[in-house]
Amino acid sequence: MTFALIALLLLVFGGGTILLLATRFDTTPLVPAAIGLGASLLALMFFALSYSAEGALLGMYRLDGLSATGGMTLSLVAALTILGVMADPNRYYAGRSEVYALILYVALGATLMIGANNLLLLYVGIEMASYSSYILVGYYRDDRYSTEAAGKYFVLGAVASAFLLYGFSLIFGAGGGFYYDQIAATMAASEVIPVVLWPGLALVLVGFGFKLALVPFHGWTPDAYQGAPTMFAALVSVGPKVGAVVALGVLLTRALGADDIAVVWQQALVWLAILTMTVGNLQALNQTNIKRLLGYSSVAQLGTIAVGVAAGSVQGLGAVAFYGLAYAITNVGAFTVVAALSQAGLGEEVEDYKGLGKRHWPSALLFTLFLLSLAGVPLLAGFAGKLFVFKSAVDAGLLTLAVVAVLNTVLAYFYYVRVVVQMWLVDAEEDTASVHVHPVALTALAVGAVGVVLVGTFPGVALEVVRGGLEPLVPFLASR
Amino acid sequence: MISLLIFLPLVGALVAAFSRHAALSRWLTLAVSGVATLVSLGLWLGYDLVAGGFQYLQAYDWIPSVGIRYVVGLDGLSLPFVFLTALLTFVATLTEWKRTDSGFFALFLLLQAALTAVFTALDLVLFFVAFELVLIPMFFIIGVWGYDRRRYAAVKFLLYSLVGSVFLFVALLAAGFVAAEGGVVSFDYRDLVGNAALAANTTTALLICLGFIVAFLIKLPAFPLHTWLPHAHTQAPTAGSILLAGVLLKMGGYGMIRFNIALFPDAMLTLQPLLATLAVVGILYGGFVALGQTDLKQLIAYSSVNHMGFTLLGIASLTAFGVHGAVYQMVAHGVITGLLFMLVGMLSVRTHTRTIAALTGMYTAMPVLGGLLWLAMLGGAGMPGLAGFVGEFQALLGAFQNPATTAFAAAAVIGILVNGALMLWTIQRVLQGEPTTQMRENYDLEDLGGLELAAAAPLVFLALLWGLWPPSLTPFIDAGVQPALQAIANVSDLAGDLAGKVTGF
Repeated sequence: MTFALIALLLLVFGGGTILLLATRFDTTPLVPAAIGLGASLLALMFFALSYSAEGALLGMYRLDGLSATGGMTLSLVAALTILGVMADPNRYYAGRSEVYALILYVALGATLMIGANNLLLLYVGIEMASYSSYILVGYYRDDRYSTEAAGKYFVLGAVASAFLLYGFSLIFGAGGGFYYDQIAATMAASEVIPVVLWPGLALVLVGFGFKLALVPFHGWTPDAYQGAPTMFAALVSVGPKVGAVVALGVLLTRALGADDIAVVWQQALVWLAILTMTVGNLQALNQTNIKRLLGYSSVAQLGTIAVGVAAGSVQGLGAVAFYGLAYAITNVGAFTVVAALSQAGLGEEVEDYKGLGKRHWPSALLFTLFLLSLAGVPLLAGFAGKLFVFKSAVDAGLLTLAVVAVLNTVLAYFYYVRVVVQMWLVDAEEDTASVHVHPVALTALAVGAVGVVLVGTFPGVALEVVRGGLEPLVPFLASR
Repeated sequence: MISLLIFLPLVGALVAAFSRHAALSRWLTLAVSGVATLVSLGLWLGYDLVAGGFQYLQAYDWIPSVGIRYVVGLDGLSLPFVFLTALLTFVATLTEWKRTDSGFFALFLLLQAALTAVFTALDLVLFFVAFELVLIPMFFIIGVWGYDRRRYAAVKFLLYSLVGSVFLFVALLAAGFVAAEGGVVSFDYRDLVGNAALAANTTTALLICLGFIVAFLIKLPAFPLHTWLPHAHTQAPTAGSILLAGVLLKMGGYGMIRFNIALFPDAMLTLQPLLATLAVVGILYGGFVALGQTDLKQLIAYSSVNHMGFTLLGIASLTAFGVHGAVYQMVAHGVITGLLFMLVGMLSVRTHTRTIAALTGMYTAMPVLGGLLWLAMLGGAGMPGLAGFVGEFQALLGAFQNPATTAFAAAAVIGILVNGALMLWTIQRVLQGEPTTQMRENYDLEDLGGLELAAAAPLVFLALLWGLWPPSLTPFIDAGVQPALQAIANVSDLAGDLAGKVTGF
């Protein structure tokens, strides 16, 4: 129990220290970055140590393999993001150094979501990750696109939070408590499901729909990613999303897993997933801005992950957690390439990536690797994630969903391949300058790339870790 | 040993990719593919024909929680293709000896590794992974080092193949689940062969079979899914065309015999008329369209559609002679068309054109190159004494034997005529006569050098060997297609009489 506590506190106090001493760091910008990096890496280690812990912190934060794995994933994401920021500190106004604290708080909030055993803690986690994200997205306060993005993100996020909160209160009314177990017990004991539960469930699904950017609640995503400083777009596209999708899975299966309720949310999620994948991919097809393209691609990716939640089984949740890990590393990697290249003077249009293979082959190679992983090419992390998610859908009897999901991968190939073609098969104009990528960014990217290949080639190991973490949940899922 | 054939090129590819010296990558590629050629030849000679079945097996758990394993093995069906993969990589490297990009050679090694894995994989998911992995190096080989319209050709090749892969992916997952019938899921080919749920006459089996066949028909390629091929072949650099024609297309026919016939015999009986129709259309259409081509490389590309039509016809006949002939035809086509593309590549380097009208009298100008091209063209026309004849003849014979496909075979014979006319006419246009004065004055029409002769020699030797002495290949193919024929014999009385050993060749 202590290890998880230490890990959480590391994130809390790591961020706190940076904030408290922020004014002193103006002259030594490397110190807060080092604190942030150190805190996230140490937290990663302590989360790993807490893998086999049991019980709950203050009764609210589950101690099990799933929360530990979630913590590890998000600490890693935070560390990679901080490395990406360190590569180009001036761009992120890091002289004021609070970015590092906010990055840690996004990771902390997402970790709390995954570990939450209680609606209130879940809400706190969501809000913590969301507020930090709003600030990060609007971090270029003099840039109208950045502020516009933050404005949109904030307004829609706040509406979503209101939906969630109202939904939680209705579920509290129907379930007689905030604890997941309590709600599940009440549902099991009552012969008829209380009527107030249904609007509660609907509100929660809509709220999560906004947070996860599921279609039709996804309108804010591409604007937010395009306007946000690139490294923060990377973080926001991954941290709160992975946290929320796993948290949604746990909440639904554990608190609302009774058969007659599960039928309803399963159907709802099936249609949300189908819509999200299809619309996300279709809209990504004709994007010309690389960040918008990645934005729509991440909408579609989240739709695919939601397939695993819809399966509502141990296998499905395992697949969700695995895909979350694979997607996190891959997407942070892809955005980091964009960030590093825009630091090197490249534009953010797909056109600007012409001939990158000849101008700077390491970054082109890495970007290709990340894009192919997102597309789901075998031996890369994304493929294994898709394989597990699809298999869980088939096993849960959701054949239509599985087939639509597979057909969507074909759609997705088109826009990922388009970028690859620009990089390797199109020659750059004569007068383009050569590209220099910061070594710190390259290091972070190399770490991510190795991760993508390893997880993709030997997915069994990561899957076992994730599956092991789900053991405590098995009794709740046994009926499916 | 098989894993060595897969991982040695893979390691080589990594080294070559990060090497700054093109010469090192070049020699490394030559060495690795040379060693692989010898090793696969050794495996071939060491294959125990009496025992048959899969040999040199290696099996390890890969993703145990989903039932995916790493299983590789060789049988008579895969041996010729594994050997061809290594050999053609070797000669392709010799052909492109003047290239100075490390990346080019790294991609060839990667391609070799992936292709070897395709032909040796006995786990369906492993097969799929390798099948997909083949696309990536070929995409870049065409797209980066190809001719003028390389980008269009590369993207078309990739997207066609990816669409096929998706069907394959769904189908093989479904095959695993359906075969398990709620039990332990396995994707091991040896567990799936003879599975009653897959071999049964059900809609499910038919749909799964269709999923496989769409992917393989695109690869083969069969009419009307062939439209990627002329572009890819024409735009690829010479070495890319050699591998593309020599081995990549064979993944389609190999897959159909290995998976479609052996796993879904009943569904294949249902699909027989469709496949036979596509085959005949491909034979005639490919031949006639080839007649109209003005670009020599594109002409050979369309003649491949014609040749692969015979392969599909042999497969569709579902008889011993037919399936056997299909494999023979694929092996022969690999050698002969590989040689054709190589020689045309060498020709166009010298003449700076591939337009047929501009090329006349090439035999007079370069007797050695012209003579070899003459031989390869006749091989393409299916002249007896060269490898192409045996396969085409067996495939047609098989199709005649089965009453269900007799009519198709009769129609296909016209295709032989067209193809013969095509090759003879091309010989007349390109090789005979005198070179134009413009050609003589502007270009140095030097005959083949030692290196180029060394690249062509193994292919010429094999074309003659397998043409004059089929027993050097027949028994192995015979052993390799037995599981497929057995599966057919189990579901069809008629074809059962025709299944069995092929004798007389």
